[in-house]
Amino acid sequence: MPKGTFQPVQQAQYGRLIEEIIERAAAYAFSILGNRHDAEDAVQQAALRGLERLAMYDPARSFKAWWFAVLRNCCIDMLRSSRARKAVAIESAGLRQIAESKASDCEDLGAGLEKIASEHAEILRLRYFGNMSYRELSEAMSIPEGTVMSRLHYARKALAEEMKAN
Amino acid sequence: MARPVEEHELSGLLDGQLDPERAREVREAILADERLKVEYERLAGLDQQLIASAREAIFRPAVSLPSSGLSAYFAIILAAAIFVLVVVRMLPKLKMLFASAIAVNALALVVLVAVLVLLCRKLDSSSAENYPVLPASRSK
Repeated sequence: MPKGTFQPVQQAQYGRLIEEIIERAAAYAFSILGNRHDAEDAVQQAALRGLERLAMYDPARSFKAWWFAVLRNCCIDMLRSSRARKAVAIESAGLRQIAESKASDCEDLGAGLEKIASEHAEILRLRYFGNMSYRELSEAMSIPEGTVMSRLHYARKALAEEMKAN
Repeated sequence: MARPVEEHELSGLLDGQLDPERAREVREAILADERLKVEYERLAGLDQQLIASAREAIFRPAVSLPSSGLSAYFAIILAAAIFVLVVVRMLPKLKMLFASAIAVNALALVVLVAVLVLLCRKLDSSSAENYPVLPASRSK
């Protein structure tokens, strides 16, 4: 899709591209927002917002990385507007909800993600929940691809240390 | 002689990001060094936990997008084709005044269809509930 030349026919392409990544997008939103209803709302908002901004998408970039950035902003907007409703730490709520039948491991993960640096939590969330490749992570995090390995490593290490401490 | 293993290469091995030769060297280093082995197993265990948690979080939400407008353009083209048909086929057989009236009405029809289509597109773009593009399904 050429940049700056949005045409109606590209909307069908946009729909197909979204369909390929929507499940992982929902999982990623869920890991941030903590419940499926909000995650579904965030994905819907991101779908519409991405469509509005489709002319700004650079086809040389990964569509997934670009659209996940849109999705992340939608999740942040939803968090800000619903902050008063959150009774538990936001970033860990999703994992805690998943983990009702797998109590200790996922609760530790959730608590750990809450406590480590946000950039560490974000790269782990994109890697595991978003199922992003190194190249996609590089674009999503705006870091060189050669840095992704070390960034992921130190994120995992930080999470492991945090879980061990707890 | 293989160069020393850098710490982040443990994650590189876990993610399959090392070239085959370097992956082999790192695996050998892990087997030979207990500290490396413990660290790698810790990362691998965490990796599996995160994979399992992410798998549990996957679901397919229902998402809808506004119509693309292709049907709108089709309607305009169809109206224009009707106009041309009227002009080409019927006008030569009619008296000038009547022919003019027919032509004006046909042109008005095309304009009306175009305006209605544009109005509908404006309404469509302000609503998110047009047709489901991505139906929800149960989670995996």
